Amino acid sequence: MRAVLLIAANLLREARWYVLLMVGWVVGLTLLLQIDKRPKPADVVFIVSQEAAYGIVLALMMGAAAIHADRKTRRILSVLSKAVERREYLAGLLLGAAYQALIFLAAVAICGTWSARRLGLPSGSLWTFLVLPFCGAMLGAAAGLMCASFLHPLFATAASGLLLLGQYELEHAIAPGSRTLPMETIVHSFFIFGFQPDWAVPWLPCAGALIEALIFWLVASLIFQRRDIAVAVD
Amino acid sequence: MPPVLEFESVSKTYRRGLFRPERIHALRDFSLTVERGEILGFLGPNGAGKTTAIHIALGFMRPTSGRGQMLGRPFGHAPTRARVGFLAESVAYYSRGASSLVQLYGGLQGVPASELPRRAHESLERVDLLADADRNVSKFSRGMLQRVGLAQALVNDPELLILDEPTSALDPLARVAVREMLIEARGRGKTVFLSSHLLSEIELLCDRVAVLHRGRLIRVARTAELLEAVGQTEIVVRGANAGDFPGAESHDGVLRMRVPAAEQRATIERVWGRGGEIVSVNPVKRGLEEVFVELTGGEEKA
Repeated sequence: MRAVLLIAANLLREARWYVLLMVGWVVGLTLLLQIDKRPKPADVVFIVSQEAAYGIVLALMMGAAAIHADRKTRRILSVLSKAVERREYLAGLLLGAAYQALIFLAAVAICGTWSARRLGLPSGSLWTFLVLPFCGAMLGAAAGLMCASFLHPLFATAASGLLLLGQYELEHAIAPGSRTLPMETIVHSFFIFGFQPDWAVPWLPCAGALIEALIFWLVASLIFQRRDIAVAVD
Repeated sequence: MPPVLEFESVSKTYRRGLFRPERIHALRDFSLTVERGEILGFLGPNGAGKTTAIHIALGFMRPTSGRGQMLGRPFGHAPTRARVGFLAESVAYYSRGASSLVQLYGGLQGVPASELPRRAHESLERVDLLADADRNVSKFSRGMLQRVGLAQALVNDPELLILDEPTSALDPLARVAVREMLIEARGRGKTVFLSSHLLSEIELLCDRVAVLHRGRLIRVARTAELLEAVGQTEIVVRGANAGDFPGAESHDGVLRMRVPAAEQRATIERVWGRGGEIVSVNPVKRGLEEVFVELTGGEEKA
């Protein structure tokens, strides 16, 4: 477990400028909204929902790129030559992507709360709303990581995006509104969130997303365990 | 006691190219045993398969056939690597301070958190990088990076050190320091598996040498045995006439000649008979470079 935490913290450290940039973008967008002397609640809702969706996309991209970045620089050799199992390495990357999503979504929550309070909207519901995108981000990162365990990051990003959106489309086509797969509930929440004071965390889809992320991580571990991670330089 | 490192008929084949894949035989039926407490030099021309063998031992790659064990466990067993120190050839490190980096790798090796600062301090001291302990390694020269690499390999006080070109970027003084460090490690019962292009270094350091060529192990021998006399003796003579000894090299009145060991006595008597004085008589030793060129058919250097 210690190795997982160290790898996760290291990934966050490596991506700190990128995370900072994304947080800056959230803050900047919020400030931009304040220029308008009479911002509409619909604008705040739109921005918050959009940023929450980006949180999932960012985590997916982070998951899809993490292995490749380490392989390209050969830093992976310095990690996997240590007493680290490959599944621990992947878990570390996944946790690192989760840290990044958490920081990004916390920025969304803080800035959203500020905007909501200025408009007199009940801001407490924003925090409960963001629990679901956070679970979605974990799912996105795990899907990205799984596809990147055997694909180039560019294809892995596309494949994992299709995998997640495919779930949404599939459920939408076969059993619309059934909310069986978590992606359906996550995407649906972006359309219906409106700072409702009684917004409750949909725990079942959250748990579903985390279980699905766990399955993706397990599959990624199985694939990655069988892969040669370095080709001879000599 | 099992060997520290053992390859048993390991072969590795991989494909290169997408449309017309070419099969590369990086290792062919490679068997080698590294015993506890020795420094084994691993030589071979570029492309011989040295790095592939190291990567298989550390579990970065799976052999196509064959197997092996490291410290009594099959290749790829992660907890065993906590007892191994590895320095890769041309590896990059995360961008952070040298001490912080060594502590990160120490943590991954399972060194207790309370011991990490002390261990990192000691490791950096051994590679003479204490003054730069807080400097970001991204600002380091190649030689300094190699020393940080050595420090991270030493942080867990490993039983087995696997070093792939550990001194290629070091200046002569740092090379001597690393050499002394490795000799000292051997003195403490550690085993060193050393892949290097620097034949003089292998010659000075290693108890045994293994030569790999085109994926095959072509020679394993004790270094002294490999460099041993080729049945010839070098006789150095003063006060003799060069014309009496065809083939002798003359310089400042000193003759230097190589004769078959069987003719050594007769030659010495001839020197004395002609009023010459024997300065020295020594068996001729070959340099590792000469042996290497002979074994690999004079292709590229190691």
